[in-house]
Amino acid sequence: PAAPRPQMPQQQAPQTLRPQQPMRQYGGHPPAQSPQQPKQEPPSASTAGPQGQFGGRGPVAQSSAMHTSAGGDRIIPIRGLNPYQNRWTIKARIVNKSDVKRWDKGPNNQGQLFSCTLMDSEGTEIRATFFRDAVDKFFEMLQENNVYTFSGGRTKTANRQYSRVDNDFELTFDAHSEIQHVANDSSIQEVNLARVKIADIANRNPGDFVDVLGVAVEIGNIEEFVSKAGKDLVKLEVGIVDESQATIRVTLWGDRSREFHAKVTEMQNPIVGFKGAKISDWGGRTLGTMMGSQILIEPEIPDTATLRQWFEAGGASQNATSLSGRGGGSFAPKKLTERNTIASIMEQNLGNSEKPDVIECKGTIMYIPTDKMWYFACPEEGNNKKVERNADGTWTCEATGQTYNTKENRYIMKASIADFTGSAYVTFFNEQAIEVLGGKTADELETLKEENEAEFTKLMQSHLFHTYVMRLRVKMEEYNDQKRQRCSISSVSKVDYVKESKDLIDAIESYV
Amino acid sequence: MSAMDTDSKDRIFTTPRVNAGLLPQYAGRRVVLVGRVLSSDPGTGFVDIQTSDDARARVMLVDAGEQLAPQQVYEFTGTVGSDNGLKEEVHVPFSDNFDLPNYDKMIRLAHDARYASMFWG
Repeated sequence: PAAPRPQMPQQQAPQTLRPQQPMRQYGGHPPAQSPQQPKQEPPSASTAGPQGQFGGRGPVAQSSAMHTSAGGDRIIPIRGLNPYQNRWTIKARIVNKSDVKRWDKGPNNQGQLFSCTLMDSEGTEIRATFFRDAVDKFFEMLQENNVYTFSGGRTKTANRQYSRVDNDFELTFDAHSEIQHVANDSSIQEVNLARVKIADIANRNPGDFVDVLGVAVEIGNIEEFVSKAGKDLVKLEVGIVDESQATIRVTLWGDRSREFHAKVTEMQNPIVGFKGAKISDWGGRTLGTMMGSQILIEPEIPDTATLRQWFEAGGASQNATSLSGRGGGSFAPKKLTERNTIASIMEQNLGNSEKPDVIECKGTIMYIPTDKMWYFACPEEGNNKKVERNADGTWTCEATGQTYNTKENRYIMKASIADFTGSAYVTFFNEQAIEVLGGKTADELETLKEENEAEFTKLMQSHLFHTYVMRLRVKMEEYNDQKRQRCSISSVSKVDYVKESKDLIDAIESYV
Repeated sequence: MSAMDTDSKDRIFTTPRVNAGLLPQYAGRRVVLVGRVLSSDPGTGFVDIQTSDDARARVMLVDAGEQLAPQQVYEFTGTVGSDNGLKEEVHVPFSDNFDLPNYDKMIRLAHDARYASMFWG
């Protein structure tokens, strides 16, 4: 505990008079410049020593040594926070970071915010919200799972309606707050995943929140659509399986789903965890991530290793029960005997219910029409909307109106696939088309087509007559008064002939 | 050399896939035999193989001086001799991940009395 400093009484008085204002008073005005602080040391050390117990509100260029010092008296536990004390520093890990929420309801009602859940070494959590300029200043900088020191925030009573975090208070930070990244502090627990085995989720109630950990065996595509309310929504469906031999579908919403998709599609059967996912009884049992849910990829907890071992020992290749019913089905690869034939698409009149039917079949690519294989998409990361060509060669995004110098081709490739029962036309979207075209992106293919048509034709020919196990989404759609079944490929994988022949033999033997 | 039965009423045109255990049944017939090379002698042209039923068979190569890669799986087509060895006409290397136990299950199913007629008549 430091000796009282001359400025403290001075600054505390205004505090009691105007409890909502204290930040404004200190914000951005280094006490070092105040004449009432004769003991003020040069900026770089100004927050050391004389500023006392809870760290300083000094200039932004603070030495990080101050906050990461072993001297814990500079940092207070989160449970010590209260609305009557505004000079504090806490050290916490970001256990959850939401997307930025923006609104514009008129000239006087616009804004942006994002929120985080912070957890300190005692395990206490608190919600923190960043408004206006604080979003610009801190959103990129703050990374989930990293540890930071925070000061210059305001404590107020929590609005439990918006937060599942168990704390009577919550914090707000603005652009004048100070946040410093510190080296990982192992005294702050990485992640507290109170995982429930997937099979047990069947016994839980819809509406409850749950933590799960599983191997992501099926990763869907980013789906962009407009909700009934007219909102632009983005979602991603992921199928996970764990040692309870059960699989469940998890829906991720918002920009986080894009980030997740980008990371996990590079990985082979990654272990993923979801904290605070909401159980829904739509489609059997499914999970959805809310703004307060935490999405973890390969979390460094002991269960991850156990799960990885189980999976690699072939754990998931046995029959897994799917908790997520139709409209998605099991996300572990279906058994050979559960596959559909191509003829069954018509025969069973698939795609007629509210949700698309998802089936798995083994098919051979017979023909790929080479006109209109791709559309021109926005080159911006995460934005795949169509762009229109302008007279001057630039491209304008249809949705946002922004103009770019380039565009990115993305496949919407039609192909005829066939098996021993029949054939069907399906659409391959970007990721799956790239897979069946030997890794060639649509940009690369366009270049090849323009520069060497003969090579282009040869390349396209070389990818015909390959057989894949494919997951299809079938939906009946009306087009010009005609009802047609639209089939799109949501995942594709090369046939593993050793496994395939074994499965075929097992299937035959079960008949004889 | 004809691998076909010479009885004109009973002309058999198939070349069954077999393992070592089935060789005696096809004496004088042309068959297809798949196995892993245990030893290959370029002096005599004999190759000892381990077939899919984990038994041994001896193949006489058409080109006596040829040496086959040990542990590689090959498919041999040829005629079964009275000693249950195979006098080969041609051979083809199979890939490294070829699964012999799977293959053997297929052979057993295809030779099952109930289904053999679908395959080799």
